[in-house]
Amino acid sequence: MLQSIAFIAIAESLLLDEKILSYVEKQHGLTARHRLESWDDLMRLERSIPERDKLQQVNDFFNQLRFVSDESHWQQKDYWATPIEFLSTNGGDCEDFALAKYFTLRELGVSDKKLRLTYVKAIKLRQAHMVLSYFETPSSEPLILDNLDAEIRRASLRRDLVPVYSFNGKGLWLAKEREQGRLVGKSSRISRWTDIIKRMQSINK
Amino acid sequence: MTLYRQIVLVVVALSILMFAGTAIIKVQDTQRYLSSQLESHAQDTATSLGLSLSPQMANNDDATMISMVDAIFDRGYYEDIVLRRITGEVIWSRHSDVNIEGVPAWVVGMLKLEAPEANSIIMSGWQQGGEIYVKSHPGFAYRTLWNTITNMLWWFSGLTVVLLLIAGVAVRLLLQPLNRLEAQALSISDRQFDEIKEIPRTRELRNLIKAMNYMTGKVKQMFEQQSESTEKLRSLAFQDPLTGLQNRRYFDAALNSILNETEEHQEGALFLVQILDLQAINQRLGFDAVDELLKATGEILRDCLTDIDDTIVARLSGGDFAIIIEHINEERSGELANEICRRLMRLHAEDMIDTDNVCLTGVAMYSTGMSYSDVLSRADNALQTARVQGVNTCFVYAAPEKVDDVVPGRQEWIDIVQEAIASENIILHAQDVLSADKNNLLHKEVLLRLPGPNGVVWTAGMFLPVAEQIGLARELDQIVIKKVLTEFCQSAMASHVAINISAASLYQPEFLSWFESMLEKAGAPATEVVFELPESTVVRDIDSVHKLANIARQYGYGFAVDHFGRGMTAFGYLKSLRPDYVKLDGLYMTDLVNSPDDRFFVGSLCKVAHSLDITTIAETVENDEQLKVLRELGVDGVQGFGIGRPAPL
Repeated sequence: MLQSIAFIAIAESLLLDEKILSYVEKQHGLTARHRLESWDDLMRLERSIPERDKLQQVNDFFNQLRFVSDESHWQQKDYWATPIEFLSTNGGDCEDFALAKYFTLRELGVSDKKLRLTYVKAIKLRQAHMVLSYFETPSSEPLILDNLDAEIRRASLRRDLVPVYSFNGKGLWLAKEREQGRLVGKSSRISRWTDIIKRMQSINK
Repeated sequence: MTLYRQIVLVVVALSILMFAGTAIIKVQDTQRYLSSQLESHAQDTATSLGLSLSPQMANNDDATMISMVDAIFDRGYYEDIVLRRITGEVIWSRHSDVNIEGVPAWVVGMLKLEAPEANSIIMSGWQQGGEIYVKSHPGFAYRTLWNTITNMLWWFSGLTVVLLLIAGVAVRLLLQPLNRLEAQALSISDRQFDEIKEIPRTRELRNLIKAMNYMTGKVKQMFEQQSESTEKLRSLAFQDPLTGLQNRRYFDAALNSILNETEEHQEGALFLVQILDLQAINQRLGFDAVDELLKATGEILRDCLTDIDDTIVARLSGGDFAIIIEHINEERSGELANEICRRLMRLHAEDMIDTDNVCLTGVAMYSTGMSYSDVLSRADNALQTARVQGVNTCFVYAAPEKVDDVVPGRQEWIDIVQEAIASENIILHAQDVLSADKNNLLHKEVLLRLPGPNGVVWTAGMFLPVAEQIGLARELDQIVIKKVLTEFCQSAMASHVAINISAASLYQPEFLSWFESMLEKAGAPATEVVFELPESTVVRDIDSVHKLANIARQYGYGFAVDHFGRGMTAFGYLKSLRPDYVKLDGLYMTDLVNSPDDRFFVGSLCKVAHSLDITTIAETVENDEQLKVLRELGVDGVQGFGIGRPAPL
């Protein structure tokens, strides 16, 4: 019962309305609008298809976007964009990829218990990195959704990554939002964005 | 309730309200803050434990994990830490009871602090190996909360006390002028018209005090004006403007009243003094010279009477003067008449008159009960007899012999009085004094009687003149006072009484000390006892009267003035003496019904007395017409044959 209510709430809240679309079009051009519309289409996927297919489609959709560092993209060291910001600007870093995938999969009905945001070390790049892990069962080996590797692979096959720690997405997002919520409000970067973030927060409560 | 107490209530109520309001907000705030602190504390611990346990989980090293949990739990402040495998199996669990020292149980019960739980995943390589569950201990938070509340309570109590102290001082300072105002108002009702000198700085109070001062001044002025106008009115109505002596109206009324008196002044004398041929002098010397002559005559007559109590000097018309002396015998009258003639003859030597045919004096002795016209015509006869004798002579007509042979002669009176004093055998009668509506008995005026042979009772008027002449009036007064105080006034059921004190008593220095010791011995009376003194005595020896009044008041007795308004005196003495009541002289009653002047004058006398809160009583009220007029004029009490005749006390 609770789950179904949460589901409806998510479904209602993440569906984009015309106001947002036309605003994004005005700010970032028609292609940005098309990206959002495609995301919208993605979220209207049949809920009943196998989760493995959902993972595939979502991973493929977001991996089309450009990888940009926060510093060059947002002029901030560590900025967690919302999926809408991420799509509108056609770029983001590993956290933005992982989060956008996380939110979209949650929207598509994947349980929160199965999704973990995992901090890893990318050995070759010698960089801290983040991926989205999918656990079929709590104790099973996860599948890794990564923007560095277009394929979804089992964790044991990702020899290039060393796992550090995992969080459940909701808690981590909220913790991050607590500091970023202030930022968004303060920089008054368009009330509509604030609005969206608030709506995204409210989904997860 | 005093203003200060009201302010205290308001301050305390406000403090409680403010404390309650602030406490609720503050406690909720602190509660929220502490909750979030507890939450982040729990989450931080869960995250860092999760992170540091992950490598041990990968190695399946339970022992190290348990040690690490113990280390964190023991060093920190936690209610619960539970370590589970991902399968749900508990590896290790620690718990401590929520036991908060120094915080009352009801606070813990009422202010629920939800210590939030936090959990974190423990990784085992890529896989989830387990879960850590952490709950912070709320004890510290409870203590913080409790300290917040108690601190606040102390602060508020302290502030309330400070506020109350400030309010107390402020109220006292603010109310000081009001206290002075109260004192002023009270002293106004005592007819003391003092102004407040210290004007307060508070504007409202300053205006109030100024207004009060203004009003005080006005009231004082009004009071003085009223008293003055009454005096002026009386002099217009009863005074001869040229000589300042009484006029014919006053003379007539006074003589009537004296002759109708039953209790006093048995024997007196009426002198008629005539300046001869005034018309001729007028023609020879002119108006001014006549006026001067008449004034000089007035002066001489007054001068001759300075040493004699209870005299009335009046100018009847033209060169006709009259003197009434209430206590005098025939012999003394003759001497006085001679002296008057001699003194008036000197006017010729002083060139006030151009002839040595100056005057004639006729004297008629009278006794109460004789008619006005009888006395006047006897005096006139005496004057005619003197005229026959020759100019500048006098003639004294003795009082007519008593037909009633029961009445004793002079020597017999002396014996009667001395016998009464020696045996203290006197009879007390009393006359009722009623309220003007005749519904209440105000008091009984005690009257002295002496027993005669065969049950005859002598009234005071018969023996008092003799007693006064032989200097025994004081003894009679003392016996009356003693009898009334020791015998009559001992019962609370007894009615209120008034006792007369004669002028003769007051003039004897021993009397006052006897009076004081008598009152002291008798103690406060069970009923109201008032001592009455005639106005003439009051005016003549105001100091002794003050002493007497003070003694009376000191022992709980009253003091009153009899024959109020008889003399031509100012009423100033009323203000300082404050008698309990005044008895308006019978002089104004004779003509009261017919004379608007008399009515107006009696009304004014009442107003003067009432303005000082002094009760007024009318004497010698004889009929209902008088009573009706007196009521209209505002007289408070009435006495007289029309009200009630004297009866044994």
